[in-house]
Amino acid sequence: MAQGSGDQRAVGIADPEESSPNMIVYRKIEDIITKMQDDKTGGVPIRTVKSFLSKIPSVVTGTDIVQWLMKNLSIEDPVEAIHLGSLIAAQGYVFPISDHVLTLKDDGTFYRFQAPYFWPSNCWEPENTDYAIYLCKRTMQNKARLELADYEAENLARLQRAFARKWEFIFMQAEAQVKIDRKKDKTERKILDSQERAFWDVHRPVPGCVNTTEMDIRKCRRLKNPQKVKKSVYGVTEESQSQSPVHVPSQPIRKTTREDVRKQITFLNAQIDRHCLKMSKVAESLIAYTEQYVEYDPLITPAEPSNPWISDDIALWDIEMSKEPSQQRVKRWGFSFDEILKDQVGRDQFLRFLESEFSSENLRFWLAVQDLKKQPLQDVARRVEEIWQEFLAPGAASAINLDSHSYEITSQNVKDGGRYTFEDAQEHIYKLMKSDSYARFLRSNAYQDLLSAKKKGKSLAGKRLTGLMQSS
Amino acid sequence: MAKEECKALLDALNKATACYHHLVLTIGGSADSQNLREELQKTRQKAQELAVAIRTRLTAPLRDRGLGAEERAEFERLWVAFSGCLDLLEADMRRALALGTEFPLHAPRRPLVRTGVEGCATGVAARALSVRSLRHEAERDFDVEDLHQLELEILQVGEMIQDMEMKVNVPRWTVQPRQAAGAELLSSASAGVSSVGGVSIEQRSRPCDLSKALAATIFSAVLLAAVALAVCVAKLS
Repeated sequence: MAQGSGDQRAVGIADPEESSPNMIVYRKIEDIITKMQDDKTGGVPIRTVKSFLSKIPSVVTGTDIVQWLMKNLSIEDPVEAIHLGSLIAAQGYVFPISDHVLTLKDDGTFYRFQAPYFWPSNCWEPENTDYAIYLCKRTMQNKARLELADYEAENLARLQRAFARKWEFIFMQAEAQVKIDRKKDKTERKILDSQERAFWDVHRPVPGCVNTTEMDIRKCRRLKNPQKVKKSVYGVTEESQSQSPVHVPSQPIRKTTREDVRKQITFLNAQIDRHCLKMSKVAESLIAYTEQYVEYDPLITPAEPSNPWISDDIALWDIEMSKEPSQQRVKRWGFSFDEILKDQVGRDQFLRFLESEFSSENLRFWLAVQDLKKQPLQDVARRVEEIWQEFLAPGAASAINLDSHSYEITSQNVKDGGRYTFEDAQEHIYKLMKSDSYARFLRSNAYQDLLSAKKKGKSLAGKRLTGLMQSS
Repeated sequence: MAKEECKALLDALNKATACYHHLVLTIGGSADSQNLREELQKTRQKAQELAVAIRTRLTAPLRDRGLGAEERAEFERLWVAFSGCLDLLEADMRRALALGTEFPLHAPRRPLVRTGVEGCATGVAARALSVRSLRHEAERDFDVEDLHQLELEILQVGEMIQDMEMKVNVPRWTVQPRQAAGAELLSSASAGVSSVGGVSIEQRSRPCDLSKALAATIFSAVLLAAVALAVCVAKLS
């Protein structure tokens, strides 16, 4: 019972990480590994090989692994098995005991299974401190056997510079670990050494090898100290070491951190003051919008007479193309000014209304400017002139009513005419129409008649429908 | 002297951390057993005791404003080492928890991985606790109950680290190291070679190198015989 809840708790905590792509792969590999080294159910033979004057403990040959993979995972092609084995080795679950390059070869090279502590699924990216301790340990041990490779010596030098202040601790810890190592059994030491070396081959690989973890020394350091991102590893430490501690050095560095904190505080304050819409209000508007438009959505409310896309009957489109708008369509014009401008028939009706009020030049201007935006470039300049002459020039034929500010901006823009010369003026006119003429239009007789569906219109539509039905 | 005490405690903590690291390495491998889990628990409890002791001893002088610059530098160095040890310990404890959950001993979801490490790690734990040998006296489901305990202890250590950072303001970048970073390695390299020589001689006398010892004696006997023969031949001629 306790175990069950313990498991559950552990699984619950690890859940978001369990579903990351890497973890899924690791779990699969671990299943394979478990089956592979399980003696009772036919795993690979792990044995101790006696060579000249020494024993090599607990190894498997490459051929054995490849054969096991082919048999148990139903792989026919040995190349595929080798590839799969190399992938497992590249992640660090199996390693060759005498090579830094982590691939699987189908011959007599010996491999060993990695300890669970070093499995990549335990989700720890080793820090540079651990790497420093490891390299330190290696230099303290038997030099002939475990000499540092070039890239390792380089890394060690770099880490020494980076961890100058902490080096005493690193050295102490490395010493303590070496002391413990020396008291152990020789075979055990071999195995543990090889395990650790393989682990670091995965996480700090030989330059030129595939880096499965996509991490390296510099990246690790950046992750740990995000403030020190800009400078290189050498820059930070050399600077701080060059001055004596009595005189100044800590001040500039500390100031930067305070500045950073201040910046963060201002940023967070701005975030708090940001205008946030209340979810309840947003939901209300959304519901109102959907209720209003539900009957116009052909997916929800089937169109009448029938949806041409489904029934292959284009009656609906014919009706729409005729100049007699349906009641539903007319109703839509009342929702917002944009709706009426979108609809061709609506525009015509509105234009007619404005003509009756002697203010049609506004809408014509608006339409002309919209048209201007679609003109090919060579015609644009000409059209700009025309529009200016017709609507805006002093003594124009259809003078529109602009405030002086917009007028000045527009006259400036006309000097080098482009598609958006009249943007300002257009917006002004739009607002004017929306607040003034549109409201009157909705109250006008013409619109109300259309809305209540005059008998003439209805019967025409009805005749067309019945005619179609008779013919089909 | 407070400093010497601190130093001694810190060394002990260092040793305990290293021992704990070695023990955690073997969880889930072929050397895993009830005894191992017990040793883990004992080692980490000892490490925590030491940590608490060091903390109390270090916090007082570091918060004391009137301390001299030399003294303060010393204490700051100890502080850096102490926080480093604690970080390592916490990280290892977390890994031990993860591994312990994945590889429960009795009702194994998966059998232990045959890494080949067969030896028993009692010696390591005994070193950490500075005792001659350890008695093992746990019940069957020890490892499972221990995991709960471990979680609590991880939280405690985390809190301790947090607390320390809050209370004592030792900016890492002002701590002056005693000597340049590579120096210890260079000096120890020369010492290491000689000590390694000593160790290998010591190792030759251990029983597992019996074959090597045998070969060496036979070879030396043959050599002596050859020398004796050569002397006789020289005498005769």
